[in-house]
Amino acid sequence: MSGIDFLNPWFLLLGLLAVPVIAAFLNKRRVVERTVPSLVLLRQLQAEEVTRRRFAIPNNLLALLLYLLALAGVVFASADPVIPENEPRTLILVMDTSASMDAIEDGATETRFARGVKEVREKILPALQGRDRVGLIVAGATHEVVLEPTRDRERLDASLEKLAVGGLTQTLPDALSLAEAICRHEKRGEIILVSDMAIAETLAMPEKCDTSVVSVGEDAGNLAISELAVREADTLGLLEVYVEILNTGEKDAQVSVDLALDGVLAEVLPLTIPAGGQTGRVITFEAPEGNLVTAKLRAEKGNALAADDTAHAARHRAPKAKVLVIAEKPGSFAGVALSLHRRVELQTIKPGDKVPTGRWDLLLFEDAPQQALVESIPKDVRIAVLGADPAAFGMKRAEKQERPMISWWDFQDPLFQFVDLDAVEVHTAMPIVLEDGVDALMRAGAEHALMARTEWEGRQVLALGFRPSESDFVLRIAFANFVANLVAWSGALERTAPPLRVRVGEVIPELPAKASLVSLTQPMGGEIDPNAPMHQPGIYEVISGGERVRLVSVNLLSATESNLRPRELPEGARAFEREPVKNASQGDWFWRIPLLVAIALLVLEAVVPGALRRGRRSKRKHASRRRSS
Amino acid sequence: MQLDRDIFRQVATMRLTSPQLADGPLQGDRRSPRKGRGVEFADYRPYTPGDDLRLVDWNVFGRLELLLVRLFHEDLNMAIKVFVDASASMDFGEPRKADHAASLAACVALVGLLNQDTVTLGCLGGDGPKSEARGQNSRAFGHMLALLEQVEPAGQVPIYKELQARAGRRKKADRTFLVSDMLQPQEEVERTLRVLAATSQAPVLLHVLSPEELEPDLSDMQRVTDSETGEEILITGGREAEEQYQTILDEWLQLLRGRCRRLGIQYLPISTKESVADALLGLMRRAGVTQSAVGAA
Repeated sequence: MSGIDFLNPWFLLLGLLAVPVIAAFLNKRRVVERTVPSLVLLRQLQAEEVTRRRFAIPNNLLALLLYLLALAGVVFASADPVIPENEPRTLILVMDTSASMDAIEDGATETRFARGVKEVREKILPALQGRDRVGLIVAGATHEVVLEPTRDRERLDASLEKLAVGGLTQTLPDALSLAEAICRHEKRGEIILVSDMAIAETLAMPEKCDTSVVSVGEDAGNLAISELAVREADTLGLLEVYVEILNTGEKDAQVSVDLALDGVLAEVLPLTIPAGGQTGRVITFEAPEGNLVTAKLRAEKGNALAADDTAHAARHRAPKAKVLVIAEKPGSFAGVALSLHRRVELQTIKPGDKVPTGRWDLLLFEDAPQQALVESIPKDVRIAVLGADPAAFGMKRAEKQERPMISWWDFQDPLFQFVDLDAVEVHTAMPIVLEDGVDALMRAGAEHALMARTEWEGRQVLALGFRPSESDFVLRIAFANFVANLVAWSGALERTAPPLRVRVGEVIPELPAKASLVSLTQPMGGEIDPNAPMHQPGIYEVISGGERVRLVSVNLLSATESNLRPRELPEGARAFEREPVKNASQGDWFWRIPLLVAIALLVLEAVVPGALRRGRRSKRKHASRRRSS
Repeated sequence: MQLDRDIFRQVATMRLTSPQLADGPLQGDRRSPRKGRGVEFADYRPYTPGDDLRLVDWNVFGRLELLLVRLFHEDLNMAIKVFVDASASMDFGEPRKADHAASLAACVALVGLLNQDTVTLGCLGGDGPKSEARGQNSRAFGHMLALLEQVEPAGQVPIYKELQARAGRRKKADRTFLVSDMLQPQEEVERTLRVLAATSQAPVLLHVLSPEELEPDLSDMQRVTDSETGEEILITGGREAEEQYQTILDEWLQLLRGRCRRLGIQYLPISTKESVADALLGLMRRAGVTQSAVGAA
């Protein structure tokens, strides 16, 4: 026994109540109303009494003493004294706040996390003594010390109350290492991991600290979206979505996946997921509008965790490209195709005009420009020459060629994405001479190119060796895609970075300085620290310098996290003993002692002074008898 | 007033002593100062016409030719008066002073009646009949009990006035018992004692006090009200007050005892904690007020 500790030391201030008690005894002025046979004798007494001093020695010192002892007992008991056994313990609670802790098993009424907190409050904390300290570390979206080891149970309670579930268990090893680092410096350190143990089997337990596990997980089937990817099927708004569903249950599951664009339902995908397996499906649909793709899994049963039923993805959408068509006559095929493009801001001028001021992404020449126009071309612009003479841009045309056969085109070049030139018939062509610095993109033979690309005074120039109208190219869907690819090639898309995909618990990489994050899926979510690990799934907008830089999708998308089946305890870990530890109740009986003593003293105060008075009267009686005799 | 009837059996063998020659109204068994019919020869006196010839001592006439009439000591009973204070101050104590006083008075009366004394019993003050009960034998005892039971202590009456009014009508009694707490102003106490002394050959004051008066609980501050006058005073209380009260009480009792001694009153202090039997058999007997009836002359 190394002394007495108090759980509520502030209650010792109740001892100040002794001051008024003593004062009351010193100046006891309790007036009792009595009727007496006669005042013959008492009247003389009154005359004597008025001369008494105000503060007199208490007429019942024993009663005062008993009152003070009783008060001391009550104060002592109220302060919850405990007898600590040896050294105080330091308990490091590692709370698993990963997403799987939010699961509610079939038949359960509360989440695993709620059960864990309940275990802590009902089984662990009551077993502690007053001098024992408790620290709190979380392992979820991040691993951090929420509460340094403290005796303040209220702070611990408040910290537990503030914990939020979400994230991956991948932080658990780091959290345990952190706990070990704190625990190893304590004389009686102990780590208690509160987890559903739905974790990787390779979890290593701390070796230098006694570690026990409060396992709150039970076997449960779960359905989850394990993958969601979005890409443009073409440049005209055809969207390709890949969604993958995981089923960890023991029965096949019928599910449906709602795909929504900017919150508007766009497609519903019914799927059958085999037991213990996963199914992926690609769906393509027209989605000209909407940047935010949300997949929502719906299943009637066998789905314990809700956090992994929703996934988000962002489309890589560029702002409108500013295209300037230079043609003698409006209404060319290319001009029409561009005018139909939803993300093109089109303007047409004649070859003798000057390039209007402002930013331009693409200059598309259908006729050869005059010198004045060439001189007015801005520097940061891309140029496409469709059939016209590209001499102004440093490329030469070869001799006229009749009915050339397209023998090769560069599949890998983005210009030919979704473009099939097979069996395109060209009536007349003026091939581009392949000189140094001129790259062929389309050939009709080995010598010249039907499409070439070069650099002219720092600008990228693309030249087509035939007029589109002189081929059946314009009659194919490939032409529309080619025009859309031209728009994409113009670089407008490059002005915005492609969306990033981040998992819960990860930090968004490559953020520009002074960037801020805005949640698009939870606009009222409050301020978000862009440099902290992401907690909440959703789509975020990175703002830098007042402009949107890129979109970031944050998702759980973890087959490990969605597998809610608890693993066996790893080596070196033991299950937490749910029975209260042996010294837990010492404080209980101990603080009852002063309380009982206090009650006994109060009873004594009520009985003994009366007995004393009786004894005093007995003495007087004898004296009275002596007087009588 | 409530009477303790169980004690009446215990007092049957008692007898009130007569400190002087009895001078009761009726013939009794107590020596009286009068000469008259009796069994014990006292003296001769010359015959005068009208004397009962049966009293002439013819043997003396035969020898001396003198007509002498024989005189005998006349045995009379005692005239006993018992007065009970029934003022409001007697309505206190546990047991109640009034009940204790009534029981005492009834016992004294019964002792007198059983010894053929003429007993007059009355209450001074109180609520109830103002009459007195009088008798010479035990048949009158019922009336006396009824009187005592009908009277309840109440009011503030100077008992000396009532005592004077009741005792002063006739000649002095042989014994007068006043059962009272004597809680009156000092001048009234003095007058009461004087009247008591004047009304009897052998006055006895049975001073009844309750333990609450002998050892009051003055530990707390208290506002006390006089039961008779309604006057209120505030007492600070405390141990010093209790000690002070004891001093005052002692002085008052000493004063009362001293006045009684000077006026020839037998003073018998009685606490209501003591039983009536104890008071009669113990205190009064030790004081010579009562004696055993067996073998008494």
